[in-house]
Amino acid sequence: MTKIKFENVNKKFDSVVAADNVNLEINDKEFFIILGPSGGGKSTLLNLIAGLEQVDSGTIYFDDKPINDVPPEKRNVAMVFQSYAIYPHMNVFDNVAMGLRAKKLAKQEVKKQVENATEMLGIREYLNRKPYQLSGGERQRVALARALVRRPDAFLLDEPLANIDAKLRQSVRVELKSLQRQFGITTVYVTHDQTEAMSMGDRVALIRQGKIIQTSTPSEMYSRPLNTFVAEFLGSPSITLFETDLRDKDGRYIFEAPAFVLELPLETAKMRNITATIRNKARDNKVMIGFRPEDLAIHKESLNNAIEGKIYLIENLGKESIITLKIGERLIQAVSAHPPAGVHVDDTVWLTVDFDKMYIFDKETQQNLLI
Amino acid sequence: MNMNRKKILLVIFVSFIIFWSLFPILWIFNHSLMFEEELYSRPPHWIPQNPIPNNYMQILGIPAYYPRYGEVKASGHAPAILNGIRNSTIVALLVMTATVIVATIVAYPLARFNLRHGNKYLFVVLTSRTIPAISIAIPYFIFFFYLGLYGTVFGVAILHFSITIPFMIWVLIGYLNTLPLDLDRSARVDGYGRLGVFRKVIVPMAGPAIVTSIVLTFLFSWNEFLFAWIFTSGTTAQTLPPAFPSMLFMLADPNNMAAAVIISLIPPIVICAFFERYITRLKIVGAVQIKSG
Amino acid sequence: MMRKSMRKSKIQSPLFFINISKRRLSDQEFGNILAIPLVVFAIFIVVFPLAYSLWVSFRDINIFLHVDKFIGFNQYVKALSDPLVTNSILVSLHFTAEVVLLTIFLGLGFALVLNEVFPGRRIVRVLTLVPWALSEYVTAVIWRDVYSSEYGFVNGVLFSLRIIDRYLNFLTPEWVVELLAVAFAWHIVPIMAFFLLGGLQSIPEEIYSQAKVDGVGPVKRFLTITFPYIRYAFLVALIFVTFLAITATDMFIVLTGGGPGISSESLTFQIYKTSFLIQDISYGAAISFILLIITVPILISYFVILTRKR
Repeated sequence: MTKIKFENVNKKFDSVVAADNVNLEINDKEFFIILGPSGGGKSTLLNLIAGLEQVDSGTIYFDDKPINDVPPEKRNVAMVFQSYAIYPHMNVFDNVAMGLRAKKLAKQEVKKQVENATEMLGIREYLNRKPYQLSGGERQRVALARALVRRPDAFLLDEPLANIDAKLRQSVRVELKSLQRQFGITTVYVTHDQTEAMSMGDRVALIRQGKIIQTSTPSEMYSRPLNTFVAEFLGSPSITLFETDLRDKDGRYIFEAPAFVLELPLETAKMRNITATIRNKARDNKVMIGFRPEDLAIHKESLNNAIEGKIYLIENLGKESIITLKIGERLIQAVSAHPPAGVHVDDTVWLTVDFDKMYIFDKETQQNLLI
Repeated sequence: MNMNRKKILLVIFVSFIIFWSLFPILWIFNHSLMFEEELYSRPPHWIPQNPIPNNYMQILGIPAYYPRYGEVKASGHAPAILNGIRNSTIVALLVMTATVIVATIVAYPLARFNLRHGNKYLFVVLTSRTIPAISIAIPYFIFFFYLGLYGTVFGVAILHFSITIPFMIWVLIGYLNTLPLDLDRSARVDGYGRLGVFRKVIVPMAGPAIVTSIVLTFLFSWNEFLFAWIFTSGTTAQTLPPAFPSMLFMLADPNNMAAAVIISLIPPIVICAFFERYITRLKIVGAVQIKSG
Repeated sequence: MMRKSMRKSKIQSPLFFINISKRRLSDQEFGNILAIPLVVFAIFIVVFPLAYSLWVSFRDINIFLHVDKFIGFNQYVKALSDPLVTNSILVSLHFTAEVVLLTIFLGLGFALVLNEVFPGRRIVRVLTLVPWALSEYVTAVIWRDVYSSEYGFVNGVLFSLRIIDRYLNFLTPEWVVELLAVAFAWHIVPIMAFFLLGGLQSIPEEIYSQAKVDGVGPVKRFLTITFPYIRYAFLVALIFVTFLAITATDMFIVLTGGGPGISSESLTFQIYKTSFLIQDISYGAAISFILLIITVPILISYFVILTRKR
């Protein structure tokens, strides 16, 4: 089992920067998620850990030993590719046995390990089948068995849920997580799906165009995003950001936008300890304020310190409803477990916000001012 | 146009195509089953009256006795034919072996690694297939003369390589490009070095392409005329194709020749029938380009 | 950035090659080493012979009399003013033109027919490939028999139909190139047919149905729908066939031996005759370069089209 560390790693493919001064520390036995938009460099980091790509500069350490010059076959990591990479010309047994045979294990031992691993993943009865006879999910299990049977130091997964039916994703998520806990192997998991990251990760690193934007636990990243990019990336439906002018009017903090005016209650400001920040920022500065959909409440009657809007769409998902509202020219979303009764499309409503959960970002730098 | 008219036209055209494609072979086949006299009958006998295998036996050096025709002597060209078969087989096997080994080794990095000079290598492979055979024959004639390779199976084999190796490299690279690179990567991560990947992943998976190329290489070498004619005719290493013009020039019995032609077609037919499933699995039109020797 | 310069100095250090067995080869190095046979091959089997041939063409060589003197472009001047050479160029062009026309016509026809659905289609397709499966020299031997003035197929048919009352010799100076073209076309039509067939099969059926419904006649359907789809395959096949026709040698050596007289001496045959029958190697080399000059532009256009795709 291993700690993995990236130190000032850079990697470029022609003119595309895949890794831009990446510094990461992944702890032993951790379920670490690399999250980011497509093409952002996530798979590259995985390939660098596996040794399938070489760094341009910087060092990668396994347990404090630099492994830049160690070829992939000697790194003792296992990788599950998005395509599963099952060898079509071998049956399931031979596929799973690949890694063990490379280690020149005895035939009996190989047989025992393969049977154990496939038993654990529920594919033992397919040992003699060829890949084309298996479903996608079964093939993934073969790939997992092949990886786990080797007891690697690290376990690398590249978007494993991408090809799984939406309905199955939940159960496969649970299974992967429990497998990892069972085996206790350091796992690096790459995905673009923030739901997976939030639900599975011990810690998450958000990467964009090769740069690590933020590394923290999922809840940290959700409630204390470093900038607007992180705030918008996590959470579904996305956070709503408003561009406002922050004004200090005789000690009262007013956020002015074309579509509304909100006043931050002073008690809330004191409780959250943000008075100083706001005072520095006030003086007609532009800030972005952000509200998560679950922090907006809809009211039929007109209220003070609320945002006026029109109902655009109501999606009733059973356990909650997603309500899309039109504010000015924009469409934003609010989520409510119990939407207000008697509210229909095109009704004019008023949104109150939960100032306890309000985010404030600097408009120029996009940074979170409250951290 | 209505269905019946179309059907009739189709039957006519398809019949024409079948006839056109096969008539010369059938014509020769007929001759191979006749005695010489029957050959010259006018109008010709479209089907041999008394088909007998005498020509085949004559040309293979086996005399026979037929009650109706008396004793039939072996043809004087039989040794050329028999030696030709032997030499052609030797050359074809040599060429086949060497080509497979070199081509698979060279195709692996060209297809699987992103070599900086990759394009230059591909260019070399492409252009070496475009040189007319006769242009290489001249300098090689001089080389072989001084190297003592003239009139040997090795010499001819080397000339065959000049065509089969680029061809097989080309076919293999084309086929390997259809295999996902993730398979190589997975094997690397599982503990195999680059040669291990070659052994356990690339070679098994390229099976169809390798088999097809081997077959086509063998056929090419077996059927190759120009180099064989220039470099082995009249020598002990003479392969099968050059035996035919010799027979023509020395006025061999045309029926014997017909039998010889049919005999020369047997190995290709047998091999093709045997490997047909591999070849159709491959469906590379470029595969037929090997004939452009 | 720093690493690149470090790498450069590594190579220049003499220790680089000594250490090669001890340290691990990079992917690039590994690949280049495995590709060495290709480089060797290219040098020995392509570059060297051609360069030597060129060198030889600038001299006057007789390997038996050990004569070897430099005479510059004389061989080429001689070749271009040699009536035998000009005749052979004409023969080659004549032959190629006829082969190409025949192949286009027959190949297209076969492809269209083979594209239709009928029972036994697979077998017919295999049979259509047979002429290509034979080698060129066997084709020549067989068609010698077909054209034979004593027991040939053509004579047999014409005689049976009472079109002629005695067997004729068809391989006359006037007709020999045409006859050779037919025989060679027989051999290579399958290639054109299968290239075109591949193109035809990529056309979705709905387009034809739509056109028929719209009332488009068969000829117009072919011109506006079919042809654009097969244009690429057609071009590729066309160039390939042209190349085959220009470089055909076996046919001329085996079927006619350049005769009667010199009426079927193609350029390739001329090269063969000059170099190996008359044994004037340097002259032959010069003529072979003239052939190369003709074939190279064809091949360049082949590759340009191939790499440009659709």
